[in-house]
Amino acid sequence: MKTKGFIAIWVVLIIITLLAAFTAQTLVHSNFIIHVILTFSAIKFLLVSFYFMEIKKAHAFWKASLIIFVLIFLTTTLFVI
Amino acid sequence: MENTNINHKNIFYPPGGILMWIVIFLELFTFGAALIAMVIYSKEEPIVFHNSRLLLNTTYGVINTLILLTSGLFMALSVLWFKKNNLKLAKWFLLLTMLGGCFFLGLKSIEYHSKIEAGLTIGYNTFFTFYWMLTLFHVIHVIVGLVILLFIYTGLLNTIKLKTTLEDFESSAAFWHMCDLIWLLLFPIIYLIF
Repeated sequence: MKTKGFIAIWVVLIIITLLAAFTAQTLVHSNFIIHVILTFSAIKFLLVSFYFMEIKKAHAFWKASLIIFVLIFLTTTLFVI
Repeated sequence: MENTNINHKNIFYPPGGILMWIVIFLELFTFGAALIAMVIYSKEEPIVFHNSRLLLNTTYGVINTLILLTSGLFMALSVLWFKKNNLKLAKWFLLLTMLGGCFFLGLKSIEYHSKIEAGLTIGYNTFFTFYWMLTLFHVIHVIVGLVILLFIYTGLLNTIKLKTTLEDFESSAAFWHMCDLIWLLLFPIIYLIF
């Protein structure tokens, strides 16, 4: 990945972070809003691991492991909450 | 420079090395389990968790997230320039990465100070027990990450007889990004959802 690609990912990460904070601060907390906030977090997690950590270039095992971890964490948290 | 060609498509050679990735997954599962435990406890005391969450300064949390993400960008750029054998830019971005880590710790110190001043210590209630344990454990990781990056930086200073390999550089970068990943899990649960 080139410099421009990394910067593009960083811009997306910043926008999602601000959007999540804005959503949490301004909207009434419902289960839907919590789902949205945690989904934003999962997207950021995968963007950092796939692009900044370059797991995108790695063997499918590592990509699948990260996605499975995120899915387990997300579904368990949302199920409990 | 020992800049070997690594085939990252090989299952045994993910970027950063297989041992580092085993550590990363162990850390992720540890923090993940602790965060799920926090959510389970919040069901028993929803009002306590909601009121306690309101005592946190979300702005600090947001700024710290932005700092870590920016620091992560600098780390990725540092690795990129190292691969291109441009050590000057690699060192420059590594310094910026470490600066981001220092800013994170500085802001966290201010936040901790205000919490201690207000009496919101580890034994205040269940929410703050989780808050202190999880965030302090994360801070320890950031400090360890900074020490690792400092070693890598000093290794890059001797450009005539450079001993830092791409594997060393990628491993230290993977550890630093792991701090980002952990924070990305901590931030919404501690600062936003309760």
